[in-house]
Amino acid sequence: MLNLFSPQGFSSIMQMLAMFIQVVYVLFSFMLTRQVKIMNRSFSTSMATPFSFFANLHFLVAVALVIMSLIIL
Amino acid sequence: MSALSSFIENPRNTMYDGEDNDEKILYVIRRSRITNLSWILLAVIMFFVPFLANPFLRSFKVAGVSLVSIKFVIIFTLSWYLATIGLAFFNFLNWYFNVYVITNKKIIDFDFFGITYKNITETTLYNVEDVTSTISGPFHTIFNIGDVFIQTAGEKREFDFVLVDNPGKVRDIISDLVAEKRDHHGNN
Repeated sequence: MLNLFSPQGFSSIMQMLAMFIQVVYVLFSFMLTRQVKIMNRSFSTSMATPFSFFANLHFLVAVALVIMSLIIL
Repeated sequence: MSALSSFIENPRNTMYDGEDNDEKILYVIRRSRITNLSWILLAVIMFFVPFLANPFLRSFKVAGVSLVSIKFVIIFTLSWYLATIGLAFFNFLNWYFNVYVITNKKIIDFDFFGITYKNITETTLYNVEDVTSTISGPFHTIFNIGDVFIQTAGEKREFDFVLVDNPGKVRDIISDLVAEKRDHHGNN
């Protein structure tokens, strides 16, 4: 049984907390891609493509970070 | 870049959902760029946080062994910078897409709150009754930032152009367009 008050236990808690926050952030970044799509559809400008690209990239990086955390931590 | 301006006259490559075929966007107005200072400053502060936080996290030791591994610090730093960029992008989008659009036929107010709320209000120029501009406070006076309130035919004031640059000019533009529209209607 892992002792939560030991260094390993503390580390585990930190890792679980970090993973949880990252997953929540992935959800936020996904919502952001949807919001950018709605915004671009409502009001379309020459910046529509860069915004969409950046929002999608941001989402992919968030997902990649979660995967990286699962592997490394 | 003019695309990032808070006041754009005759914008190019710009259209909105519901635009009529014979409609032309004359002005795109946003909150003054100065209103973005708060989140820009926050992003700059957030950028420097890992430089202080990482040594602090690594300083937590038990029997000479750090409680926070170097791998965790790397993940934390990358996540922090991603969140900083995400927050800055989110705030920028809120500024960019919360616009007031004046066309040759209508005034449209686009409001996006957070990431789940969208509100679009429009009225024809003919419906505009009164236009008022207000500048209050020393900061706004120095930078010529204020609000423009548009009263439409009805009891409720529906359009508030909040914290725009040169509100007097915006008021004047709207008044002239409304007068022109009413003259045109009167002649027909």
